[in-house]
Amino acid sequence: MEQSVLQELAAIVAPQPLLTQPEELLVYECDGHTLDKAPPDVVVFPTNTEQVIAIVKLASRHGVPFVARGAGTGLSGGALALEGGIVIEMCRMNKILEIDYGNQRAVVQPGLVNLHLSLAVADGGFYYAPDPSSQGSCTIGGNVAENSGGPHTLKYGVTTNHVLGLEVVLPNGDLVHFGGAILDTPGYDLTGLFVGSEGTFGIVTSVTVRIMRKPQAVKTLLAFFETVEAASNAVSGIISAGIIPAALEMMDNLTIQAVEAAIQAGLPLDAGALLLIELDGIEDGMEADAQRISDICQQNDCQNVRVAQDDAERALLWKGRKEAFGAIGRLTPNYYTHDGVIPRTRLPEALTRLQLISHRYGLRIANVFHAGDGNLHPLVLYDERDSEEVERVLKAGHDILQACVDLGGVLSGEHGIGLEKKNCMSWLFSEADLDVMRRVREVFNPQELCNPNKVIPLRGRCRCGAVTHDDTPDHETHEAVAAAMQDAHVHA
Amino acid sequence: MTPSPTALHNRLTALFGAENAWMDEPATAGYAVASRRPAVVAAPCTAEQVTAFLELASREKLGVVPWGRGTQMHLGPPPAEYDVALSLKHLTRVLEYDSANLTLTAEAGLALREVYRLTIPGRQFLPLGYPGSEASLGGLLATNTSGVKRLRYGGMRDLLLGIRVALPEGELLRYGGRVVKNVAGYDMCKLYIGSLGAFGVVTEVTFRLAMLPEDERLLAVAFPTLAQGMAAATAVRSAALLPSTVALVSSAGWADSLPVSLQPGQAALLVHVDGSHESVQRQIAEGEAICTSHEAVEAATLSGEALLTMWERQEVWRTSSPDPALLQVRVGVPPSSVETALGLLDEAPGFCRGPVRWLADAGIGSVTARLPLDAQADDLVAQVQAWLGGIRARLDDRQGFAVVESAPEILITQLDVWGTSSGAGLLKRYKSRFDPQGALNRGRYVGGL
Ligand SMILES: Cc1cc2nc3c(=O)[nH]c(=O)nc-3n(C[C@H](O)[C@H](O)[C@H](O)COP(=O)(O)OP(=O)(O)OC[C@H]3O[C@@H](n4cnc5c(N)ncnc54)[C@H](O)[C@@H]3O)c2cc1C
Repeated sequence: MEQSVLQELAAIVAPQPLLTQPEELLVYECDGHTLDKAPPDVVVFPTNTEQVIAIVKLASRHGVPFVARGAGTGLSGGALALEGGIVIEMCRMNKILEIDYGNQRAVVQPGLVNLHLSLAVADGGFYYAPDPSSQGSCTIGGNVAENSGGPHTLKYGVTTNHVLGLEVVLPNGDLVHFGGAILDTPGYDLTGLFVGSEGTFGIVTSVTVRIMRKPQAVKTLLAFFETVEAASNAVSGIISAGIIPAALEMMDNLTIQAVEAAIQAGLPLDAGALLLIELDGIEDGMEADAQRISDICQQNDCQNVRVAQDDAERALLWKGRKEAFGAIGRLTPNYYTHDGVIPRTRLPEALTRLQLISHRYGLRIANVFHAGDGNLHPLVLYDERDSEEVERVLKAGHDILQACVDLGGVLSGEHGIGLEKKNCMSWLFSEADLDVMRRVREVFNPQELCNPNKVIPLRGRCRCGAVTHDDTPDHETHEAVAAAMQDAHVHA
Repeated sequence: MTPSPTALHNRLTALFGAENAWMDEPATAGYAVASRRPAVVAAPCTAEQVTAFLELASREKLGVVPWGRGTQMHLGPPPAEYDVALSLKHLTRVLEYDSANLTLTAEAGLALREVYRLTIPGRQFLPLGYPGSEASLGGLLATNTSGVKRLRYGGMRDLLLGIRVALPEGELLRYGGRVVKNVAGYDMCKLYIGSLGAFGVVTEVTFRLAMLPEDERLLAVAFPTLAQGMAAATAVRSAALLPSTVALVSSAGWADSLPVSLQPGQAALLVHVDGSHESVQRQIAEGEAICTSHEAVEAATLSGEALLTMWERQEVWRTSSPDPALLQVRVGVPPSSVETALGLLDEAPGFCRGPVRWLADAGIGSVTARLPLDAQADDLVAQVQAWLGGIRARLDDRQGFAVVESAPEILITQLDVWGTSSGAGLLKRYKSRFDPQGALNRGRYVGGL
């Protein structure tokens, strides 16, 4: 990058320094998706909207690519500076600008850590519903970009259902406002379109979100099963009985072992799977719902149901769930997290396929996921120093996604497409579908400088992400798995 | 140059068959928007036919108005060009009802009441309107119509999972999916919600369904003043209740439908709760206690048929058909400003020949008001224009908006129906990108698009 551009950049954010030294840039060469890396030329820390506008205008004038970054916890390479250029680190813009309890909303800067919003409104009896497991570090801006979910989004909806309005610096430096303080402002739902655009439509500088009143009562259950199949059947049973709990999460044996080692909550180490089920709302009638859930679990060969006796126990169980990824990290040098979604009644089939993939590639796969939404999180364990193993991890990942699509699902429920899965998009969408998405992006981002070459491959350009090294699904693998499935059914 | 009606009719007959293209007087009159009639009415049978037609329309620079079941065609100014009414009346197939996963995929012309008919036996429903709703799924989507139970069940943007859409340039696309959680690709579905068909004809929709509650009650309470009713509504919203609706209604126009009596100047609070028997009982009891402490005059609880009737009346009234003697306005404000908005609307302006009738959703912050027009008023257009401008100016600092939903033709053609919208430049760029010929609903949408 030209020295003069760096000087202009430095002037915009002074006295905040720029990061330009290779060792300073190391942290920024990837996000939570560590299989792909690309260092930026410079990292800049704006403290207000005017600075963001000035930075973006500068980049646009000089044709320099730029990408916003929150906490860098993204799992699809979204915050990666794929083509170098400027990383605009938003963490210094982390203020809560307004809390309006009467209208149940808050206005925040994008660098605010998700959990800090819930903590700030807790005394008022409120919370911010979308609760990614990374909520202790990820930012609201990152959540908006990824349309993040979390355990409690089963009942309350994901980020898009909680965002009312956005202030955005468009890739040409124009400042615009989408939506507002209320629902259904006339005009196209650009707020809805922007949420989930993975940093490719512009940079969010302020977000108006809904905050929710804390429920009057909460009940947390743990149900243990001998097998993941039994637990999956219980999930299907609960959903099709018409009960939508606040959360319905599953962990398999490998995860239970890891989590128990981390939190010592007395989880039975021999259980094949557990369901963490939470009910919330009006106290009256909750006992009856809990009983119905318990009955459905029993009908599906549940070994035991445990009810959290107090807030401390409940908090411990949730700590186990939210820190499960970290706990898995104790078992393995590296793990690769997938995020496919399937229709929730097809969980038993999906988990069987995951087991087959695990056997096929000789890789351990831990499952800890949002079962109620059908949102899988298979964690593939590996060691990045073993390049042959990395190859197998990529192939397994490919098969996992293919299985989700085969079962009528999609590539991602909450982590986004980013760099990682963009070349699989053609499994779900026709070239015409993708082309219209590109045209939409061009409306926002005509120069393609804002987080270039993510989500949908550019026309005629293909710099590949981790999962696929070419565009075409691997039919051979696909057929082999299908055949293995058949086998599994015959022998079952 | 636009082809003559006969030539056009021939083309459409060739595309859709003689039984699905009409140019005779009774047929075109049935598709009038205000006093404008199409030259031809066409009813494709498949999404592919819709696409083929749009390609032709774009090429021939035709003005097209997609038509679901015609319940909300009075929204927006009449079309600037109206060559073809594109009726979706044949696109009514249910493609997949997956009750175990609580999702439904159907063609866009299907009436909501058919969805109720299909899903009620399995105790499921699509919480967008009411059981008898004639509106089509595509129409509800294009007009961004949510149900009165939105507070609890979410609105259109929360319930829509996927769409199939035909674009003016002849592409048939799919966005979203059939699963309840999905971030694969841009959330293109949102672009079509409330877009009044401005850049594509939605041919297929997938929605998430909800379970029918075990029990359901409507608490109706009369208050001596609007201020007291409003205070009670606020107290209900901030108590630990989970109502599906918290609404206020005016004495004008509503007295007959309510189970409590209302004197002029009074207001009634409607609190709709549903869930398990126990939770409903508890909520009704708490709701009553709150109302009593706010000096309620009279309270009654509805259930069963009576509740359904009241629910349906609210929905029907909100989305009613046009009446040349009325001006219908919808105001959106933060919930805490609903009272202010009602104050503004209630200051019966000079062109009004009677009291203003309104329904205010205090949970969402949305007020629908009907002003009976005095046809004799001098310079009606200028008066209404000035009044609307004044309301908008005063709503502005409350971040609110006012939209004209229905008005006599003389007004609707001259008023700024939608008001200004932020991001207008982007909207224009969009429209020119996706409908460069302006084939769809020309002149009907925000910013004259
Ligand atoms: C242990 C762990 C658990 C996780 N659990 C969950 C979970 O339960 N649910 C879930 O959904 N995700 C989860 N994630 C993924 C991740 O935390 C989310 O995607 C999160 O929203 C990313 O936020 P961030 O601030 O770290 O964003 P980053 O990773 O920094 O950036 C993500 C994307 O957002 C863009 N972006 C950031 N700020 C802005 C802005 N101001 N304007 C425009 N674009 C911006 C970036 O360009 C990038 O494309 C988990 C991750 C980890 C590591």
